[in-house]
Amino acid sequence: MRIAWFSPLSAHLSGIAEYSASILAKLCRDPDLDVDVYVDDGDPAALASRLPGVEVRPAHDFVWRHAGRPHDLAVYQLADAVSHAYMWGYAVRYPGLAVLHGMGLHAARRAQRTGASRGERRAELRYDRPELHDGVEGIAALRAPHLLARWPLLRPILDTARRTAVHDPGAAEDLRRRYPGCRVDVLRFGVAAPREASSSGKASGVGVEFAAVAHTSRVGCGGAILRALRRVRREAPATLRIAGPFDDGAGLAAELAAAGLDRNAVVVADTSPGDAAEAEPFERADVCVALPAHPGEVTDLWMRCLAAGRATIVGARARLASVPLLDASSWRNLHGGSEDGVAVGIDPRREAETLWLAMRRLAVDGDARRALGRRARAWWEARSGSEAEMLDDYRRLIHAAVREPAPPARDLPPHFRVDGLELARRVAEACGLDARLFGPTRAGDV
Amino acid sequence: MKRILVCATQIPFASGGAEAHMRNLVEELRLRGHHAELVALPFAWHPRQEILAHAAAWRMLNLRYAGRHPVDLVIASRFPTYFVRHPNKVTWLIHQHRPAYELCGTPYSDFTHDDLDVGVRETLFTLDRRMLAESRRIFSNSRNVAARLRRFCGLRATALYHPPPLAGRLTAGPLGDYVLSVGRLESIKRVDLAVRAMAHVRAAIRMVVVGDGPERPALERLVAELGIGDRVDLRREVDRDDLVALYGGALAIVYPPFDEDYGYVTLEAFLARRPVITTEDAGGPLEFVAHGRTGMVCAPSPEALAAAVDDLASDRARTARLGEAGYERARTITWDDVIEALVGAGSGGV
Repeated sequence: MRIAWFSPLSAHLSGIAEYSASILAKLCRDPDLDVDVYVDDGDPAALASRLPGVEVRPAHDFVWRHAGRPHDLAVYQLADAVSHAYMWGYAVRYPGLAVLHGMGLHAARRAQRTGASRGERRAELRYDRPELHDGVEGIAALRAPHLLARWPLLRPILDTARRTAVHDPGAAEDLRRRYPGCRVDVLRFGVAAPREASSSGKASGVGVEFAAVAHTSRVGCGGAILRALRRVRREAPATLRIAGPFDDGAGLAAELAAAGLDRNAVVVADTSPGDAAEAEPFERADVCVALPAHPGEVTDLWMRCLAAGRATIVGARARLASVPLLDASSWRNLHGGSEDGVAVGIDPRREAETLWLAMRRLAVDGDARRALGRRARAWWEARSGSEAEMLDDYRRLIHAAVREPAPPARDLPPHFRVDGLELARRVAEACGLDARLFGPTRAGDV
Repeated sequence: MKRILVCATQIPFASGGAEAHMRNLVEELRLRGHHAELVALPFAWHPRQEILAHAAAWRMLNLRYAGRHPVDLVIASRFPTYFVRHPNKVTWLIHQHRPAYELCGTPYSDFTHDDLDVGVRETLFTLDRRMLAESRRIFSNSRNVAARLRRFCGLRATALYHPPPLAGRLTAGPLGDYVLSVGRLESIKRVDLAVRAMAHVRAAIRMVVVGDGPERPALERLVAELGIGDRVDLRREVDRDDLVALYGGALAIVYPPFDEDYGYVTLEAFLARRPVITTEDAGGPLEFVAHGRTGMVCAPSPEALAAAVDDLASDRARTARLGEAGYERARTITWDDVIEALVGAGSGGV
């Protein structure tokens, strides 16, 4: 079986790419699978040397290679980071197995279609959430692009993919509810080699070290985390590494300087959580602040921090109810259960207050921090999958997807499937000519 | 004697090797008694959503008859001329739409992963294969182009070399104190690389650059920035006699294009008994330039090119020997072989 695998592998593997590399190395040993990996960045030759047995090619090669000898299935590891943007050019046109690593894909799509017309953009938003048609127009009229950026833009993928998979059962359920008719499977998530849970790896022992991902959205925005840190530092020494694709990196740096935090916090702006906010600094920090960009998102980063036995702070959305979370105020189970929490949940309606409370408690109370880390590790060991399970799931889904035809998705905005012959067809039709100019002909037959 | 139409594209306000190639083919066919005419349609690669409309324009044409007379043979050349319909179509491929093929993903292509670009490429690959496969036979102007066709479309072509436009005029004079760069000033020709090399050349050698194109302003700035205005002479197009004289009086020709299809400059240099300095990624020129035998093949860096210039300047007797060896290679390439192959391939009749 010939597989085209789209993943944001780069010379410096991290996040999705790192686990993808580990899986690929094993899948490529499967005698039934012939896997070609298509990347957009990095040097394919250098990558190939790091991934022995894996055929790594520039994504541009996919089209002619597929035209000459079709792949049986394409696998797309989709997320919202810019490094995933290139996949949009292929995922809809060549439907395959779409593995969603986020509950929103808007930013990646926007990065891929820098030349899109306003009409095309709105057509995509309407297609994504037709029930919010008026909302799209209304928000567009408000000229508030950050609100439009909240549109998940999942439906073009869900409607065209032969199979879609997510790691979180709750997210799968939610997708089925929000997008009736779409086929969503659960692909167990596994971490290849989680770090030891016993100690953090920070270089200096002064204060508690936080590592946070910030987003462009209101929830988890950089400013809120910085303000919480400033309040925390009134009671305990603490440092912060904050990274993410937030719009206002310069403003954040200025805020940091104005608050006198520039010696205690590092801002890594213009990056994407899936890539540049690499897992390692988070796994090594004392506390990971992994607020999801979209409701219910289970990020790889968070899973890695749980596996590494780190205390984590996450968004307390309803769909995370299956994950026991602590209330930042009472330090009891947020949802009233008896199970001890494995992370601290942040109420988006009281974000500033609960974020500060959570960070403060974890900064001043080392026992609570360590206990939370131990429970995180235990929960991960009990509930999350191993890499072998994830590999099994990939194999199962690949074999299932290859047997299924791609859904027609007839209402998909036509620009997704433009083929370059539109003008020729229009001119031919306007002249009353047969538009099938390029129909099959025998050699020499006119 | 046959009635033959040679199909070419015309890039308005631009002229390069491909245009000369087709004009010369028509001339050579006529010299051998055939009725030959050039058929050209304009082509523009921008905007990309209209590229295939140009292909459709060729597809609309049925060149089976010219007036009431049947056309015996059409010879298609580069994209999209091979979309033309004729029962006796022979393709002598100069190149396909390079930005969608081998240049895609390099700085010389503006194709991205955008929906349109992917769609255009998919359609192009499908149609190119189909349209080219209609040909009675496919030739290419070089092995490099044949290899691309094999790689991207799975089609076989036979390389058919032809003499360059200045063949028959070029003569050798004494080895001079300059190296020569000839060609359109476009980024893919990498004249800037040759110019940068001059900042590293230690020998008392100048560079004469002949040609014009969109990169001229950038090259002028580069020469000024590097402070080598006294060593680099940027000339515009020169007439044929002057160009022949420049070839004949040079020490060597510096020709470092990126993945050139064929490259007249190489053969013109050889016919003037001059060695060629080129690069490992130059494409077509590498079919003729053998390192240390007919020229120098080096890494695509200014320092490496400069070292090659210094090398040739330091041993003029050897440089002359390399030029002679190049001449022996180039003089075997004739139009007779080309015409025989093209007309012979289409001799089945309509």
